[in-house]
Amino acid sequence: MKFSLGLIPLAALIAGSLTASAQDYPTKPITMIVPLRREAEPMW
Amino acid sequence: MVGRIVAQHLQNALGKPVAVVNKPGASSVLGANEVAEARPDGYTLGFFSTSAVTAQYTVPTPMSLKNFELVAIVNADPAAIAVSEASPSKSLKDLVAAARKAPGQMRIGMIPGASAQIFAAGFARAAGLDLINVPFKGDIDGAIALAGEHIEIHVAVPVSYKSLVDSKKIRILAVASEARSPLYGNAPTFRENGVDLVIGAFHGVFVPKGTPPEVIKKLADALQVATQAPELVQRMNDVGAAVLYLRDDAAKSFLSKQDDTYREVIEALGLRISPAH
Repeated sequence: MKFSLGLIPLAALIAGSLTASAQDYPTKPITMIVPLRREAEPMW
Repeated sequence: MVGRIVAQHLQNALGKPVAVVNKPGASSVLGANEVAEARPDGYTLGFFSTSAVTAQYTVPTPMSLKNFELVAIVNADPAAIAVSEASPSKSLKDLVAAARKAPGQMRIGMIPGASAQIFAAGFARAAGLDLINVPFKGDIDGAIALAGEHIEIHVAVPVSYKSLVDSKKIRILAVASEARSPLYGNAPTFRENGVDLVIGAFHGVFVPKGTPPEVIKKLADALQVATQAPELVQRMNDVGAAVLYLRDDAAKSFLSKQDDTYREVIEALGLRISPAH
């Protein structure tokens, strides 16, 4: 009983924090990776 | 260049900095894999070109588009055939006739392993030509070789030719689109010249598989705002690139069609070396 009571709030906390982070998105800088074939990539 | 323009306007729409990081290597696979392996939280995006599709088939790589969620397509341009300003061919029809008279002699510049290789091989096949493929590291050095008459033909998207066309060093003879566009100088289509080929390149924004749908929606909304900004459209058009914004099912259907088209051409040309996913 003690074990499950401990898990429920933890699960709720994790789920709540994921939802909150998606709702608040974005809260920090974003990185946009541009894959290039090689160093001498065309300008476009 | 298109990536930087989009990033700048995406940053305005999201209200957070968007840093562009170029990741070269392995025909785009290194950068793509870095995106696939990133935390699916919306803070690592991939700005992929057509190479993300072709690299699935033309390089021996475990990379697959199945490792990503497509947020939106932001740009698409047709392949174009260019010749030097001094070329006697005034139209694609002229060029095809000249190349047929000299089988195995005309040189076409392209980038091996990239969409341009598929353009070159697809053009030769559709026009029934025997051409010599000359590999270049990038579109710009190939276009410069064309201007210097070291090769007779070059194939790439029109944006790669912009400065050399403006300075009257090379000419675009035709574009592989459904219809002419003022963006590409109203150049005739391949089909108008008897070459039945419609093919091009695109750019899209991807995130790692598992990214929450709410985050994907926010990104797609922001990209929609970004790609509608008159300044972005102007900057893209100034470099000769067209804005095409597609999201959700329309974007997925576009990507799936591109994937099918490229795979078909790649297999028909015997260029597929990677196993099926």
